[in-house]
Amino acid sequence: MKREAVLRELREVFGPRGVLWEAHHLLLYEYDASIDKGRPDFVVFPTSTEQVVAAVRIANRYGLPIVVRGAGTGLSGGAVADQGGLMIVTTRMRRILEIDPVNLRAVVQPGVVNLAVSQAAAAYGLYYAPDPSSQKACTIGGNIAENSGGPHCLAYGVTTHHVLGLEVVLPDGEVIEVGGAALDWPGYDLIGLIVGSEGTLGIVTKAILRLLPQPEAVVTLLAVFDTVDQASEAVSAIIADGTIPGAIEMMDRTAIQAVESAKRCGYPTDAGAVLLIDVEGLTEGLEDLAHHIARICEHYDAREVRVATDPVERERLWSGRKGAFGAMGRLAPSYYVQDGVVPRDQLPRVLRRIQEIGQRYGLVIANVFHAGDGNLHPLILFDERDPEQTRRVLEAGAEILRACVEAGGSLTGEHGIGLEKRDLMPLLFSPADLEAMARIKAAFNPDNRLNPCKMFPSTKMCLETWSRRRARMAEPIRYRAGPPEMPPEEELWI
Amino acid sequence: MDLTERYRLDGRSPRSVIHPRTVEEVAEALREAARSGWAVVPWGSGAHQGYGEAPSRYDLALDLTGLSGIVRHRPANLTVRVEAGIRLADLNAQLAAHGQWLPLDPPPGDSVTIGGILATGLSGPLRARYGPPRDLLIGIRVVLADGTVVQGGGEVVKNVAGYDLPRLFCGSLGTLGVIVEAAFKLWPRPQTEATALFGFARAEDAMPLTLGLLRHPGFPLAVEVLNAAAWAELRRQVPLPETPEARIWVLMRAGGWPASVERVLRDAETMAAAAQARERLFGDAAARLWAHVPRLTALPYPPPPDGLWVRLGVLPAQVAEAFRILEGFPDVWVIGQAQGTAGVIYARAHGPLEALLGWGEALRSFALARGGHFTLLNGPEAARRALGLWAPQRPEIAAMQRIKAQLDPHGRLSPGRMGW
Repeated sequence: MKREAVLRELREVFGPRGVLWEAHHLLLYEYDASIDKGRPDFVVFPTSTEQVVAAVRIANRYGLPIVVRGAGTGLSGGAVADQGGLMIVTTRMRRILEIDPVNLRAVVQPGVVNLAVSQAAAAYGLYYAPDPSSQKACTIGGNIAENSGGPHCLAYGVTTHHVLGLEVVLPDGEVIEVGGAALDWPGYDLIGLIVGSEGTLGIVTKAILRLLPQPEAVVTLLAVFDTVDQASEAVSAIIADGTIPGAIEMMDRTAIQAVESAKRCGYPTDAGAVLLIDVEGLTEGLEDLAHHIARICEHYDAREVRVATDPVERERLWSGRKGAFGAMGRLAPSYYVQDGVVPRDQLPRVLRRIQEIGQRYGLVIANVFHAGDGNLHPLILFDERDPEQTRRVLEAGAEILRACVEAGGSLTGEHGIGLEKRDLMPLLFSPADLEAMARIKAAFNPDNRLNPCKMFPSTKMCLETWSRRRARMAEPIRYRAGPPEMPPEEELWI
Repeated sequence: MDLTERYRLDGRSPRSVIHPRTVEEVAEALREAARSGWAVVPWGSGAHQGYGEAPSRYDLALDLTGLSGIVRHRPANLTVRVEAGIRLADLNAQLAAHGQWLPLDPPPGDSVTIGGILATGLSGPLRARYGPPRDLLIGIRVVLADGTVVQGGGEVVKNVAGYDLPRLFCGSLGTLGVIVEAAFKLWPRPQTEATALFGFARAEDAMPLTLGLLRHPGFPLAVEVLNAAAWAELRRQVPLPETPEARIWVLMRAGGWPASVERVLRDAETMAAAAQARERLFGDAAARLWAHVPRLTALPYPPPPDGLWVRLGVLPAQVAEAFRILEGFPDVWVIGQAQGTAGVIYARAHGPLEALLGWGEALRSFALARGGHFTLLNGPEAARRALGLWAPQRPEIAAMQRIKAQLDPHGRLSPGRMGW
């Protein structure tokens, strides 16, 4: 009865085409790009802030949990309706409301795709800097929820550095504005708090973003090393030297071989590791800087450093990095990706540790990651049809994260905690830290209706579904494909 | 002499002053305060105590300048973790040996403590390139009202585990917790630097330069706009030309590889077509200039009865209009400085109270009409009553108050500072 009443109310607001409730439709919304699943009871597609408010009020009246979803490219289960309830999908709120080319601002709705902002700004020589690797599909709303990063965040910062103002629907349906087009608003920094809060504090319905001038010129370096050790020493040295390039990405031998077997990008397949380095900015001085960095790489025994200034050649070098996750399909049916971060002077040590963990669990681990930030992405290769192997993969993943934390690092650099890592939070935070965060959450979301059971260690309420989840994990899981509309070689570029 | 004298706020001395030397001593002091129901105000250099309302209750002054160590500097990670009482100048002196710096230069200069910078969240000229303090802050350790020590963030430059507590505490004026440690990402000191000064007849004439630099891919380190009174004040400290026909000055600081610095200077020259005066400064002269720019907005405490300090946030393109209003009051003498590419304006006015109130009200209305914000940084009680601490006061304030109630349920940390 309740179900029918909810449906009736939702259809009054969203019309017959704006609500999904039948099992075969809901199936499409029971997962994101992580390993978790959970089927919502209803899915709605608001086109305005008012509709979001209406949906929130209906959910409140019937006691339904609310989960907000953008493009579903998240890697930690943040948009999975683990507890069922009402899913609010923002993809129909996809208007770019304003580009201000004088003050370098963009005002967008949350369902706008990340890359679309840069495309709209390109006419003015501007772009939106955070470039998560799913940027052709992922939405600004999702980026804000996860505080997304990307390869070029080394030089320009992550999402939180580029969000100036938000319109937010609170869990009780109230709409507030935080920040604005001007900088440095007085009062507590609610933007800083909401960005990266994984949808647990409010629903973003509008965002004011900072745009940057496009770099005038870009030089891409490919530095080839015999060992991962040498490459990671070089990364540490480049950072210590104080030259901060636009991006420093690393791929190890396993990753290189996968990439080269999928598509020729010109990486030497006998290399132990390659660094892909973007140096960008003004034309003047750029080559000096590129050669300076090349010399550092050579000092750390790079056997070859290629310098590409031609856009076609640069694109070719980057295409391997961009297609790296997808190329893993050449080596194994599935992979499990972690997102730990370590201080950059710890890279050599932690990378050795990861290989050691892989050997101990009898698993092959490829590394493709944002080396300049110390943000690792070990890809553990496995066959999902083998439950015993799957169990080992999850254990090895947790052990890698433990190693990152022990090295003075963090559980996640850009993918978020979500469902995936919530029970690992005590590795990083004391009970007092978690209690303080729980209090902050209570200031916004006292009934825990908005994205419940995410980000924090499982509570009793979440445990029942947690045990169901563990049972599920033992079952064969799907190959984690990205959104179907993306071209295959790029769909899994993380 | 009564030791509590130094810690007077709004004419009141605290009952007690504690100088903790360790985080555990801070926690113990706060636990003790909790048992006694005492209200606590954290102190650093004291440079910013005029900012915010005077605390409504004030029993214990917690002087954190004894917590002044560098906990860990990882040069090869470009990060540092420090105790909150360390002075910015001392930290940067240590980092300089490694060719690194924490590029912050908030008012009123580098004698302020890291804790004070974070509690106020104020930024200076360098924010043009490096952002405000919260953009460099990667980890924080605070002691809550009940004496619990909590931490957020960490010592890695990219981290999304848990809520972003570092940002929440930035700018919270000591109302949510006592900041005891902070971790920052550092920057390399630029290989070379150059400073160019451009004098204009009117603020409008300077806008092609400031807006041009905003969208310049060479990212200048600072683009500071000064009115003539601010320029005259600087001339007292640094040898600078006297050019009476220039009423507005733009101070640009570029840094990086020599060729790119030269290019930024060249482009700035072109954008500053309307400039009536041009000057370049190098070496020590430039360093002295930039050390003095943040000092233009010193916030004396207690504030003199004839002075008013405000901060505005508007769009970069609205800066010229703001300067017109700033300088449009004949009875008010104004020192105005703006971060030209950020649209953050600091201004200080002296004059009869009535005139000051009119000036403040005009700026407040202007900021609100343009969708910006207004903050009273320092001034006499009458001005606080007339203008309020900040505007606009929007419904988001209820959310801020709920956070305060969650973290400090008995309202004992700098009570009333935010106006509540």
